[in-house]
Amino acid sequence: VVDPPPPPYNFAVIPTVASRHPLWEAQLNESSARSSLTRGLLLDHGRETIGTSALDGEPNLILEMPTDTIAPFALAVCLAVLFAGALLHAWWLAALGALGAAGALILWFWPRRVHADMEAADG
Amino acid sequence: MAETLWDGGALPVAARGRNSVGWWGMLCLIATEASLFAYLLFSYYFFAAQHGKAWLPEPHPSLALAGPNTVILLSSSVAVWWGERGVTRGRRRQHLLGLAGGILLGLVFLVVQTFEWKGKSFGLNSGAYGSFYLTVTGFHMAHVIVGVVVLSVVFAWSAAGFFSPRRHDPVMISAVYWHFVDVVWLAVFFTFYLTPYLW
Repeated sequence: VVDPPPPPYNFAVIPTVASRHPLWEAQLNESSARSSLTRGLLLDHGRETIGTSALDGEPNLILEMPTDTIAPFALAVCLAVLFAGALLHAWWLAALGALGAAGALILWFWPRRVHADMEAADG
Repeated sequence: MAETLWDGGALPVAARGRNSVGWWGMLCLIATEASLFAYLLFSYYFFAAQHGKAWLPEPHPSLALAGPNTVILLSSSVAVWWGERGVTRGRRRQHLLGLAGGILLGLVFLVVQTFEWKGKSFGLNSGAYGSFYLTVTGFHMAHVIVGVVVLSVVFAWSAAGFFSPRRHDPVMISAVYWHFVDVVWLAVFFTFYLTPYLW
C-alpha cells in the first residue's frame, strides 16, 4: 500500500491486479494469485501506458500519451478569433480564425515517422 | 507472483487501425453528424406532412444536375476506397491516384452544386421550403468542403511518404468520413429530389 501523500509519479510500475478484490485476497483466498503495487510493467520510454483487451484485461498494446505541444492552445486561440469575428460580423476576422484553426488541427494530427521504425515489433 | 506478470513478449507500440483513438473518435463524430442530418430531414418530412403537396415548389426539383452529381459523388467514394486498398497493399501509385481522384470528383461535385443553387428561384428567406433546401444542402456542402480539405492534407502526407501498409490511420479515418458524407448525400438526394415524384 502506498503511504499518503503518494509520490508525484503515483506508481513506479503499473500495478498488477490479480482479482476482483485486491485488498481482500488474503482473507478470501479465492486463488493463489496476489495483486502487487511493486511488481508490474515498467514503461520508461517517454509517456506510455498499456492498452488491454476489453473483457479479460490482457495487455495487448503500448499506448503513447500525448507529448508537449502548442497545437491545442493554438486551436483554442484561433477558435476564439473565429467566433469573435462571427459575433462582430467581421467576416475577414472569422475567415482568419477558421484558417488558423484548420492549421492548428493539421499541426495537431501531423503523423510521426518514428512508428515506422517500430513495425518489426508489431508482430 | 510471477504468473501475474506479463510474459507475452513484445507488445506493439502505439495504437493503429481499429485500436486507435482517432478511428473511434471519427465514428463518434459520424454518429453526431448523422443525428444532425436526421433531425434536419425529419423537419422537412414533418413540414411536408403538415402542409401537403402544395408546399413543394413547382416544377419539382430537376434531376438534370443533381442526378449526375450523385453519380460523381458516389464515384469519388469508390476512388477513395480504391486508394485505401492501394495503401494497405503497398501500391503507392494506386494509393495516390485514388486519393487524388476522390479529391477531384469532390471538387467537381462542389462546382456542380454551386450551379444547382444558382438555378433555384427561392432563397434562404423566401419560405420554409427554401430554408430547408438551402440549410440541408448547405450543411452537406460544408461537410464536403471539410472532406476535400482533409483528403488533400492526407494526400500531401501520403505523397511525403508518411504512411506504410501497416500504419496509415489518417487515410483510413478520412476515408470513412468521406464515405459518410456520400451516404448523407444519398439521404438528402432521396429526400429533396426523389420523394416529390413518389408522393
